[in-house]
Amino acid sequence: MESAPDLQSMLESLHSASYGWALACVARDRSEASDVLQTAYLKILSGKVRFENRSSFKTWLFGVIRVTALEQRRRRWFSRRRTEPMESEAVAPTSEPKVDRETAEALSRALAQLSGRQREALHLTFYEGLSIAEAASIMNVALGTARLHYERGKAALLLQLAKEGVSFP
Amino acid sequence: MTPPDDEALQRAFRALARHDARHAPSLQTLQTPRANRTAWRVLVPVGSSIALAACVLLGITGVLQKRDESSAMVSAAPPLPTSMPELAPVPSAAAVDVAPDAAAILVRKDELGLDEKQSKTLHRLQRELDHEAEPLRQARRATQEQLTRALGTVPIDTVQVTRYGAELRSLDLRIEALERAHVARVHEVLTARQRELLGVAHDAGATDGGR
Repeated sequence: MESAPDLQSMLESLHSASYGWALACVARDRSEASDVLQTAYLKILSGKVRFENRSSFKTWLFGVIRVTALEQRRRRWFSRRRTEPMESEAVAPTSEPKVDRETAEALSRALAQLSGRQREALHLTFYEGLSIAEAASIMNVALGTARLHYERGKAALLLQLAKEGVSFP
Repeated sequence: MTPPDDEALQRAFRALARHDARHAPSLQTLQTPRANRTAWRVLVPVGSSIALAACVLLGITGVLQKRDESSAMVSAAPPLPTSMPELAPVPSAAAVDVAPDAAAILVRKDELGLDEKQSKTLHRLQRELDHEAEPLRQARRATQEQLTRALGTVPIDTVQVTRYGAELRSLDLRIEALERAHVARVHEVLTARQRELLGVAHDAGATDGGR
């Protein structure tokens, strides 16, 4: 079990990756991703969920975020109320290269068209650089299932990008 | 060996990761407003649920209360009468006084030997009686009709029946009082002999035909 300062520092080190994963879990909705991440952090920091060294901390953290996103999705039918936009969303970044932004936006749109499982498999492998086995562990599915989602997701993503006429440098 | 598509996708995902990292809210931002956001997210659904439950409860209470009131009204209503309400018997003319009135005496004018003055007086008394009693008799007829209508309702409107019955009784008493006064005045006109012929008792207050 990690102590509170360790937990805090580990969360900080994985914060960007966690946010990206939260985005993947909620079909790239930034506001919802922020909510999911907050809820997940609250669960972890309040001790509602505990890391017990059964996997890597990142795998465990991503599992918590994924479950939180699923819980939030289930609650969404009851209330579609969105929370106020985060401060960071209101600030338009100016330092981002145009190519990066366009590519990211095109990929984000294409990913949003995929199924949740496919999006998760592709995110964990391409975005996080995890193996399919690690992705399967986080997704809580069998390796073969994760591989299937990965293959089908990749084909669907390429097709979607081709439809949009997107070509990567 | 990585296929070209995979390489392109990896580059695109790296661009996406950089993009996300630029837009990611800081850890502090996510933690700081947490309490308020959580509070609202908890309070709004809970508040809505409580308000909804309260509305449903009030509605059910209102319906039950209305039902209770209507059933109470039904139970408080007087039972339907199994028989007609007992009304005071309407006194007939004979029951009011066996003594004949002026009209009856005038019919027997020759037999009784009434003189002209007595006849005129009796005619006047009869007109006065008719004049005074007629409005009361009209009122009585109207009340009687209303009583008949009330008795014809289903269920019988016992309140109205009682009311009209009381009015009828009152009117009867007033008419009876008028007729008694009239008979008394008629007797004052007659002589003792004439009263004997009529078969009525001599009234102590009566004079001997005014003579």
